[in-house]
Amino acid sequence: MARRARQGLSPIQITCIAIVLAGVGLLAVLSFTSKFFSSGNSSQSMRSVSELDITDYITSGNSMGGTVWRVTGTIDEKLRWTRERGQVVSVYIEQGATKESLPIIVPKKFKDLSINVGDRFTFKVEVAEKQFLVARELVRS
Amino acid sequence: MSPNSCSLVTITLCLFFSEGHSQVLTGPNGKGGAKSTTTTQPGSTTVVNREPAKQNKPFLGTDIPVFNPGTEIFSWDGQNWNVTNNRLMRARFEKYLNTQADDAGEDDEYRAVIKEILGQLSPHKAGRTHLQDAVALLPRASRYRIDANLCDSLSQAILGVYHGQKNAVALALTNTSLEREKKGLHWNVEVATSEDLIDEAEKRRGGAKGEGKGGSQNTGKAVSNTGRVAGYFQRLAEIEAIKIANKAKIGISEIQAKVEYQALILQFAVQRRWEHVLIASRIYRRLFHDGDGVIEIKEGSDADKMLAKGLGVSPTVSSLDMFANEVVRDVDEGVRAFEFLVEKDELESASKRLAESFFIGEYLPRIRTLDRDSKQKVQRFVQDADALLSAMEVRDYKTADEVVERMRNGAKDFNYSKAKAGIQFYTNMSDTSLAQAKIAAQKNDMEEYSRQMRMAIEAWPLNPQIKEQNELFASVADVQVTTLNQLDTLLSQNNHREIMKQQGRFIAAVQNDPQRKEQLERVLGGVMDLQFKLAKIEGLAEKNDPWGAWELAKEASVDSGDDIELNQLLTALTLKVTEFVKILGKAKTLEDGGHSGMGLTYYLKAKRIYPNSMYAEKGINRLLDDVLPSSESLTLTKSEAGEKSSNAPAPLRFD
Repeated sequence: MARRARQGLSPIQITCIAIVLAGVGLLAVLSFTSKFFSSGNSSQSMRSVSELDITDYITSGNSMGGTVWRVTGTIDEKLRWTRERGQVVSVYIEQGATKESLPIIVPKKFKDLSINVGDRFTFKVEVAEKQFLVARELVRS
Repeated sequence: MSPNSCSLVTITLCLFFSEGHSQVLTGPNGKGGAKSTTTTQPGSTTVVNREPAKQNKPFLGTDIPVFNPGTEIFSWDGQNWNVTNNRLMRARFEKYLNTQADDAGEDDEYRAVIKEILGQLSPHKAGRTHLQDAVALLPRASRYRIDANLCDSLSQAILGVYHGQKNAVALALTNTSLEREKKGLHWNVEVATSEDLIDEAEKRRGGAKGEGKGGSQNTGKAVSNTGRVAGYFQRLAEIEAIKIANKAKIGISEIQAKVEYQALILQFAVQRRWEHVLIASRIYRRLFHDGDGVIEIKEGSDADKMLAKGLGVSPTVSSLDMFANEVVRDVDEGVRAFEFLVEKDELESASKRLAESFFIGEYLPRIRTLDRDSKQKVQRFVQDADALLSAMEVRDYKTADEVVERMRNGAKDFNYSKAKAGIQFYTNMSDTSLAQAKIAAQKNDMEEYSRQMRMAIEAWPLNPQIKEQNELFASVADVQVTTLNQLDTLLSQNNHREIMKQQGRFIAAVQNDPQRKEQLERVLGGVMDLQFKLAKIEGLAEKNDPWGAWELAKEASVDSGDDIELNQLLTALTLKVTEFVKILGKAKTLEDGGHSGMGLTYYLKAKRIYPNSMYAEKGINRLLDDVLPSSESLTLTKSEAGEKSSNAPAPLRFD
């Protein structure tokens, strides 16, 4: 006598699938959570500093030495990149009617961060020696 | 005398006489060692007489002229003359050609008197009073102007001879008287001597008879006789001395009269007064009957040589007579030849024949009565000949050539080839030297240029091309100097564009100036480069790229900041891109002030205005090199630091 074919998933199969789905979901939640917490720290730090008035900087930057500012803009050109010391990028910033490209030095410590033309970042910058803007922190925005 | 020798002598004496009459040749002629130098050139004779002072010059002893027919040089008194080209002779002959013929009536009368005198003196004429008749006619002849009182002079000479001869006769009579006295004295001496002998005989006869008284008487008489005889002897000696002195006086008087008269004949010959020579020589025969007609001149002297050589005999009165006749005939033939040649328009030969006849027999009737119309026919030819000689003398070959052509057309027999060849030779030489001078000038060989110009001037001083060449050279030199001055001025003003505009002039002017040439080449190269840049700038400006045009103009202004056109263009472009220029200026100021960050911001600002900005790019790179040297730069910096202490700033520390 012919045996009747079994129809649908077995309970075991259903259990395995459920376990897999649960694992994936857990991973996703963990990932989101860690990300949320880390950005939440940078944003917290960024919010603690004032935004750089680019007009002030380009007119009287020589009196701003050592100060730290926040600035947000789009990478419009990577001016120079070095393996050893980091890179210099040109960041296009719009502050109302004022639109300028500011050069920002991105030190080597941010080497793992992917910075590409067109990316938008918020920088915590220090007006360093010779009025160069050096990124102390940066977050993609 | 052969015709040739006759002709030679004729010419010789003619020229001699001509000179003697027309020119006074002064200057000493000493004994050996006396020298003179002569330079004879075509058309000119230069005589330099270096004769020492002449002392005791004998009459016709050393100053007789000598003519060399080969060279046509006539030497006299230490000086040399080119007889065919003597200004005084030509002038005298020309004057004659322009003079009217003598009054034929008066001349005929004079000739008739002269002819009558000669007729009276003919040796074939019978009678005894011919001399007196001839001499009587001399004052009549001297009244005519043409005679110039020469017949009077002859009369005077004859009178001198007469007085001399009269004195000689008186002296001879005195001697005759003295001879008679001498004979008487001889007789007296003889008588006195014979008285002494008688007294001696009586003394022997008388013996001692009257010895005492008679002896003393005889002694006194003897003494008296002795004194008387001594007186006779003394007188005899005086008579003898007087006779000898008188004889000497007679001889001297005769010789002196002869010499003076011969001198007069020669003087007539010197003055070419051949008719007077004939008269004087024929009277001589009648005055001096001794038959001695030899002319007393110093043996071996020039005069002696000339006369002996010319006449072929010893110089005598007869030979002079013959010579004068020959001259008269020769002049007559010469004038006839002249008339014939004039009719045939052979003016050169005609003028020569007439000149020869004129110089031989200027005062002969055939010459004096020749009508002026026939003389005028050769006058123009002679004038042209003089003009030709003068032109050749001063090397005015253009005028000489014109005169030669005129003479060729006027005289069928004019031999122009010699003059033409000379003109052609010297003009060609001058032109060739001028051409060589031009070539030398083109090669900038000024030494050769000067040499060739000197040769050209020496060959033909009045060559019109010399003046043209000098003017051209002066103008070229002026232009060159002016051009070089202009170039120097423009260089000092850095007005390179003006130099470019006039580059053709300047390139030509500096060919011989290596320093300026190099300078000009550099300037022209710069201007060409600038022109290229300007074209490029204008092209960018036209393509709506004023920023790029401005940057090119700015860059060009570094090398050509004084170029007006560039500056004008740069100014115009600056106005168009004022903001861009200001930003770049600010960037540079900040960079130089050590505010590199802000400077970099401004460079980025400029680059945003003009993404292709060369200045912005360079500024950015400079500042990036400062703040973030590339790996290669760093490596290079480290290696250089090991070798030498680098002054480059240390990389900015921002880590």
